[in-house]
Parts: sequence; C-alpha cells; structure tokens
Amino acid sequence: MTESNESQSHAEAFAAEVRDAMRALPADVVRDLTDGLESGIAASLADGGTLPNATEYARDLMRAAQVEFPAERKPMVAWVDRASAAAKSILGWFRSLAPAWWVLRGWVITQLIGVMLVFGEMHRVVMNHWNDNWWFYPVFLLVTVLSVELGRGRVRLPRIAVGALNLALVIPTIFMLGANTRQQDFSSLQYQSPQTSTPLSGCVPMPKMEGMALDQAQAIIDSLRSDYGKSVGLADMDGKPLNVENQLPRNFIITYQSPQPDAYWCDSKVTLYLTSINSTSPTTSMP
Amino acid sequence: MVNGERPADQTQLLKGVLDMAVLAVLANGDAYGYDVVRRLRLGGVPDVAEASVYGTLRRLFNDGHLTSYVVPSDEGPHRKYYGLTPAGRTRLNDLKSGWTQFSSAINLLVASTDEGESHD
Repeated sequence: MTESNESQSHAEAFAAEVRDAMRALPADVVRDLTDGLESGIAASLADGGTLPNATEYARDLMRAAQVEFPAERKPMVAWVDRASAAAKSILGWFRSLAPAWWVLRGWVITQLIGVMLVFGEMHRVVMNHWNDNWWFYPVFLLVTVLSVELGRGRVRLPRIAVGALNLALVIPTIFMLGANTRQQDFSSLQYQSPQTSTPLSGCVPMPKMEGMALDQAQAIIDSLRSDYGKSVGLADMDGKPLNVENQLPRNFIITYQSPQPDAYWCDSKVTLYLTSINSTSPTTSMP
Repeated sequence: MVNGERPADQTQLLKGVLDMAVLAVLANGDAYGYDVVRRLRLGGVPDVAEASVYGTLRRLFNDGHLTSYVVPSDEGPHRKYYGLTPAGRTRLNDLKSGWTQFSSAINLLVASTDEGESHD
C-alpha cells in the first residue's frame, strides 16, 4: 500500500467514526456536515497531521456549524423535532402528488362544464360519453393546461382563491370518480345472465329483436328508453351509430343482436347484425 | 510569544473571529476545506482546528455567504471548493468594520497600561 493509499484508508476509517459519532443526527445533516471530509483528513495526514479523537472532532464540527447535539436537547424539544420532521415528511409526500391533482382538477372542471352545458344530469358525468361530444377533448386539454400552470405558479391567483377552488372541487371529485367506477362496472357486464347472476342496478332485461325489421327494433328501443329512462342508441358491429330513418332501407332484418335476448343490458348501445331479406344468400350488411 | 509558546488564549480569541478569518481567506481566492485550514495556519493561526473550519464553512454556506463546487482530485476523493458570494463579501466587510473598531479600542486599552507602567 502506498503512503497516499494508506492516508486515504485511514481518512475513510476516521470519517466513518466521525459519522458514527453523529448518528443521533438526521442523515441529511450528517451528510451535509461530513461531505468531503475524507479528502480533508487525507490532506491533513499527508501534511504530517495526526488523527484526533473522532468524537471530539464531531463535536467541534457540529459546534462550529451551530448544529445542536441531540443528547443536549431537552426531551420535549426532541419530541417536537421528531413530530415536526414526521409532519414535514407526510406533507412532502402529499406535495409530490400535486401534479396528479392538477390533471384530475382539469378533468373534474371539464366534467362540470359538461354537466352545465350538455347533460344536465349528474349520472351522465363519465368519460365514456365524451365520444358523443368531441369538443370535450380540446376543452379538457385547455382546462388541464390552465390547472397545471396554476399549480406551477405560472398563472397567479390569490392563495385563498386557489384554496377555495380546491375545497369546492373535493366533493364533485369524489362523486365523479365514484360515478365513473360504477359505469366501468356496468359496461364490463353486458352479457350477464339472469339465471346465474343478480342484475345490477341500472341494467334491464334485453328483449328479443332477432328476426325483426330494423324499424320494429327501434320501436322496442324507444319503449325501453321511456320505460327505464335509459339513453340508448343502435350501433352496427363496428360500433358506428345506426339511423333507421335516414340511412337504412326497411328491407333488412336483424339476424343477430348483442346483448342476446334475456341477457341484462347495461350499456348505452345495442349492436345489431342485419341481413337483406331480398338476397338469396344471407349477407351481413352495414351502413 | 516566549520560548516558542503561543498565547494561551488564542483558541478562545479565534472562536469570535473565525467567520471573518475564513471569509478573509476566501476573499483571496476559492479554496477547498483543508486548503482554508492550511492558509489560516500559514497566515499566523497555527492552532486552528480543522473541524472548526469545516463546520464554519458549512454554516457560512448554508447561510448563503459561500458558494461551492466540486472538483475531482487525482490524489483521492473529490474536493469541495468554496468561494464568496456577494452576500459573503458584504458580511466580510461588516465583520471587518466591527473588528477594526473593536481591536482599536482594545489596543488603546492595552497601550494605556504600557503608559501607566512607564510612569511608575
């Protein structure tokens, strides 16, 4: 081992002892106080210096930095310090979630705009209906950008106004997240069998429409709409909406339906496969 | 100083002026921790404790009086260099002003005892 390596090795061992003597301090304070200590000690040894007592060295270092030694603190002060550090840590964790809240806040405000301008019914406040109103996407983008800029302090509002806004959005946020979760549950259970499962709230038994003309099926759908208050529409197998009046001739019959007859229907769309009654061989026809 | 002995209370005296001494060293150029110690010793403060200097550097840095940057060293671990910030320079000027007044007053007091002795 060369003299330089030996000095370095002694310096590292001594620095470890100094850090150990400070173990009662928070780790970041110890790191701050002893950063670069090895190089200083190694240089001192190379200059012919000797290693002092590590505990005394640690105390000198802390005294000069005006860092109080924990053992010298009163128990109550130490307890308050620990509680304060824990509170700061928890607060820091919540602050780290702030960007997610900024985006969520944009989503909630967009939903509220939708409620006020389009739906008028809180139960329609779900992301799934945005496809019916394309302009929600640019509005969502705009509102979210504003929300993020507000969060980052680039858009300035009085702190009390921001606090009031956040507070006012708490209940709508909880409601909307809950409503969206329920809607997700419904849409994943389109083919729930009445014999094997209990129907979910909001689902209705699906009448048989196979073999009917499309306008007859539309009449049934209209009846369901008035009986159950469900907002429904017809769609082809690609999910495109069907318009009985304008797009389809009446000489088509329904050869397949989704959901199947007697299954519970929870979604807002019914998918129908159509076949021309004039053709010799069955063909599936789409608009 | 007699027979190579140093004034006994130099360590105590230094405690009150270590901030100013460290800032004064750095006013002459950036330096890493042990380099500050070395310059203080060469400048006539041989008993300065390394730990006291390192602690003072950390405190002055945390107070915004110093800036720091890391320079890799061929001889071992990295070295953290310190330099004065504008706030540090202002602080040094304040301390120098206070020190000049204080030391002048003490010098006068000490000088008056010399005159008293000569009258005896």
